[in-house]
Amino acid sequence: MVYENEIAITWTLGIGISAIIASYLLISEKTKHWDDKKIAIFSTLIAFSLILLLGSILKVR
Amino acid sequence: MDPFIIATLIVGFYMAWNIGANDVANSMGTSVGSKALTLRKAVIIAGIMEFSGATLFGKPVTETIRKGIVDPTLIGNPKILAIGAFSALLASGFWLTIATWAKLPVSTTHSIVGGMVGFGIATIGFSGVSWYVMFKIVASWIISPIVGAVVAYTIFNLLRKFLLEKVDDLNKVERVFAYFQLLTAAYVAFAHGSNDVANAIGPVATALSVSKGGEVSTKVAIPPWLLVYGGVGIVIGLATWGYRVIDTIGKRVTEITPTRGFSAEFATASVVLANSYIGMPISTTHTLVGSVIGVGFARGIEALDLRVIYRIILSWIATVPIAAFFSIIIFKLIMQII
Repeated sequence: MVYENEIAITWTLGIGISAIIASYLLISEKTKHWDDKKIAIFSTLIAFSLILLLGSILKVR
Repeated sequence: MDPFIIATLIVGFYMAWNIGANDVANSMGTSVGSKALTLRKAVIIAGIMEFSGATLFGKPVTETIRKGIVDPTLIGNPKILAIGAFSALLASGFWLTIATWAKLPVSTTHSIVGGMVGFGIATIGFSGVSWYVMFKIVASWIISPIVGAVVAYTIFNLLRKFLLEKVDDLNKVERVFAYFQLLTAAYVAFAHGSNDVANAIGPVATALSVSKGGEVSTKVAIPPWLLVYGGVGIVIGLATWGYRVIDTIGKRVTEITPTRGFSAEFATASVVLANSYIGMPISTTHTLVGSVIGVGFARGIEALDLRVIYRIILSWIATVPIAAFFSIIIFKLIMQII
């Protein structure tokens, strides 16, 4: 099932990229004072938006 | 309703209960171990995700004999096939109950395969078993934990080098990664529900198909109500006995923190996902145990409880032969009664 694999890829990649973004936010001087919940939510939203955007571009092509 | 169908339905539910009880640690073991979640919250989240996975994304078609371990067309008689499916289900359920009682994380797929091997040996003999499939299972004992351990070790070391050694507030990092650990755990539970519900209800679907005059074939349709039935069984299993294997994965192999738990869960999810494309013989349970060992090993061998690991590996090796042995006995008993 194609959609099942799409969920798996989106979820796994999304979490991985969220972790990378969060790591950056935790180190960066500008953002390291942010609340832990804010860092987690912000990085997750950015990561999943990026993947969904990239996925829709690839699908259109 | 035919008493045999009722008995198969009960045994199918028993198997689903076992799958929930033993496999919930795959998704929630590290989260409970790292205290990112309480056991109660883990059970609620796992229950919702497993049930959604099983009912919304459970495969509508399953193999009559899981993993092609025995060619069903060689058996010929549909009733024998149904009795074989019943024996395999009950046998693997027994083994899973023993393993869960002993707090050992074993592969539920390998358990049902073991049951089918026993049925194949009892009906056709050793020549009726696909030894190539058996070879892939043996390979899984070695490949899954090693790949899991290497990937998890690498992820955790990358986190350590680029994050943990550079931040001022380590507790804050752990709190942030507890959220990601939760996201990964929810995904693993969802994927498990959709993939493994067939282990419990696949043989039930085979028995139902045969009772309705279905022919002996390699695939059989699963009615949606049966997916719900299996999903309920899994949820009850994880809610009642799930804590036993969670204790082993989350606390007894090594000490888990959210960053270590995230590394182990994420490594497992990635390896299982990659496997769906590469086709390696991978078991989720074996990969997760390997991943937990990998993150523990990142702190040195003394961070691991080698006695617990030794017992886990022994249980993996014992799974197929014990389930096969139980299955042969159950099959022979039923045939004598009939």
